[in-house]
Amino acid sequence: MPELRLGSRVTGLLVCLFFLGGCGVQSIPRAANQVEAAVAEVTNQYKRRADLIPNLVNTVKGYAGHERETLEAVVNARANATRATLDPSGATPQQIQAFQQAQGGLSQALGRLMVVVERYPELKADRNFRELQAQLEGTENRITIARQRHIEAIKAFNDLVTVPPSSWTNSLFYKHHKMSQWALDEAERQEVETVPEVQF
Amino acid sequence: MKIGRAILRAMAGVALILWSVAPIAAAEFEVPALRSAVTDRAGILSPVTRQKLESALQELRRVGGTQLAVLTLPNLSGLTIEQASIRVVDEWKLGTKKGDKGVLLLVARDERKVRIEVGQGLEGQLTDAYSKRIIDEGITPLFREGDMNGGVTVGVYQIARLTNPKIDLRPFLEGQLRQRNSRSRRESSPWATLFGGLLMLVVFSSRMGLLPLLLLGGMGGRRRMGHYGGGLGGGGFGGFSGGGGGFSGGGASGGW
Repeated sequence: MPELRLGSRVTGLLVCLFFLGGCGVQSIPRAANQVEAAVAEVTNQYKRRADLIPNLVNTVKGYAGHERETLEAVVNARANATRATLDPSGATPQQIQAFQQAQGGLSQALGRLMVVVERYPELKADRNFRELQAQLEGTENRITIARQRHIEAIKAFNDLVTVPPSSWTNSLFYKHHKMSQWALDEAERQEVETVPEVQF
Repeated sequence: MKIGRAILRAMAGVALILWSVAPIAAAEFEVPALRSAVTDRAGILSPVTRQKLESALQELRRVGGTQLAVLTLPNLSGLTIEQASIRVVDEWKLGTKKGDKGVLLLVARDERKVRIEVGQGLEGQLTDAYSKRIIDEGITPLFREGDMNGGVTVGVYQIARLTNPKIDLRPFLEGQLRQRNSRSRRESSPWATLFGGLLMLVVFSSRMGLLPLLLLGGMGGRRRMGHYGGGLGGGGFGGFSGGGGGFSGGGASGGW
């Protein structure tokens, strides 16, 4: 029996080499690497955001020191967010969820801080604060794009692993499982569903 | 009575067509083909500005190594400017694969939004904060006054200066930048204005063939440009296409 399996593997390999590229021998590992790179980019951008926060908190403190509660919430959420990690080679659904929750918590805390900031015109006019705000906006945009690319990379990988003919190659050689996708977490769903407040 | 009913029916027909077409049109955002450095789909730039920007951007790419493209769109088909912008650069791939020195200046006419999308290789020089400042202090004040040509020109000039401080596009944008100079004179030192004036004099006189001394200076500058152009070969002219540069969402957006 093992001999037969070995034989089938060898023929499989030969057939695959014949149609190189078409059956997933190359594209499956490549897609797996792509997902890994995408995860690294996501965590990198989230880290970038976390790195901006001490500076931001200090600047806000200078003008709005008595908004302690909001500031502390941001600092705590940041600590939570930096503790959460993603496993580069295929994070479990729980891991993705925990990561999203921690990062979402930070997003919410930051959102509340920005609402508070609206009450301090001098802070809003501060050059340092404006630059930090621009950096934060840029980083949020980078996070969005990094996540989108991660989602696309996971989808490409899952397609290769589940759709024939490359799925046959996978079950023969690599035995990868489908990777779990991102989903909107509770905080984000609230964000999407609530109508933004308009003030005149 | 009859005419009234006909009009009513025609209006209903038009409404029906609009209603059935609108969602499809809104869902579809199409990235225009990259044919030249300036793609003015919104029709907000004058031919003179376009021409000057094209030559300035060619110079920036040849000497400065930065591939900057300007794109104006009539609208964004329901996307945010960030979404539209990343779609465009993912397709255009401005900058080279190795250096990733690409930049897109995107203007959305109807949404009144503008964005500077910065390639990975330039995120150090053209930071988010600087991009924001260029938009808030350079571009949108002029847009608000309806001066689209001036706004885009100032944006290109300031982006170029940040990506490569050695390069000065002023000679290429001559006439387009004057408005901005007179505007910012109040905040800039008189020396800067004097220097700018002198520079313009040098360029102008060398072009006109006046003042032999100044002519020498002008020629020197021109020869150097020629040398760089030759060194990099004929590539770049004739067609304008991206070289595989990567973007990860750096830059800034603003509105007017």
